[in-house]
Amino acid sequence: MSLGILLAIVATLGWGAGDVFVRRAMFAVSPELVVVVVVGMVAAVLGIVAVSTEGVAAFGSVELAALGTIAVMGALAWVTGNLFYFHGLRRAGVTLAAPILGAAPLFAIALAVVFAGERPNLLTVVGAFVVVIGVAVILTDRNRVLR
Amino acid sequence: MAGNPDTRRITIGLVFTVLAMLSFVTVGLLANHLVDRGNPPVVVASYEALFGLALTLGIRARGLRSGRSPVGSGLGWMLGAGVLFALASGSFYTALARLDYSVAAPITGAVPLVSYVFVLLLLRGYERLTLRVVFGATLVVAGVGLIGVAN
Repeated sequence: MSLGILLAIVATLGWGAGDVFVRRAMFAVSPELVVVVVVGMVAAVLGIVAVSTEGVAAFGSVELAALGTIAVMGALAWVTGNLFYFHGLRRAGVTLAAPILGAAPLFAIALAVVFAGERPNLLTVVGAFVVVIGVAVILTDRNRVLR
Repeated sequence: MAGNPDTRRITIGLVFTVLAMLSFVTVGLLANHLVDRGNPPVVVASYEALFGLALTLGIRARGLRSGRSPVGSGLGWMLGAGVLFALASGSFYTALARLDYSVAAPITGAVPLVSYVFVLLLLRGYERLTLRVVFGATLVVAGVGLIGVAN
């Protein structure tokens, strides 16, 4: 197994467990407070890791244009991304919201078709169909959020 | 259907989730672009979190001052989630430097199944998993896997 695949699996485990931790936290506090504390913690941990592995100088090596892109990413990831997702988790529960978010690659393919003019092959179309069926199965069984 | 408060609450939650998903897809594609151009993945993830912190603090400062403080078990769960999300985003961006987005993203399609394991461990009594929802999530993961194989 390549290191890249292993890291993607680690990311999957981190996000999968993190979603449930966030849901537990929101029994006591608001999604707004959760997102601020979580992003603060993420910034602290990644800052320490980045300085340890890349050195302080690496922060200065990022070009201004790239910083602009990263600022947009920060807004998308933490304001319209995680803040909205945490509201979704609180209202719909992990059992409903997580699979909807898991279908994200389907939208990545749709974006590639619409904006990059890519033509999906048969296997992609079959995969997309299976995702849509899966989401439909989940959405027609809503009586599981107990709190 | 629209008159049922629980159904309405869940539907609003799903709309929020879809909007979040579109945001995350865009972030993933932008991150892939940046690390492919040689920017250090962990530094990119770190800057992204710093910008995110500044923005969420700026937008939510007033609301936070009037909100409840992080007491009881909430703080521990939030700090734990922060460590897990840091591990996840740092690992994912580093993976993107080694893999195409079309390969790495479908792997993360398995997040719901990981979440379900933790739902059984940590949300027992709060959420319950039905066979139907597990079957649906498995179909989503399988479909995303097919998309990954195809690309």
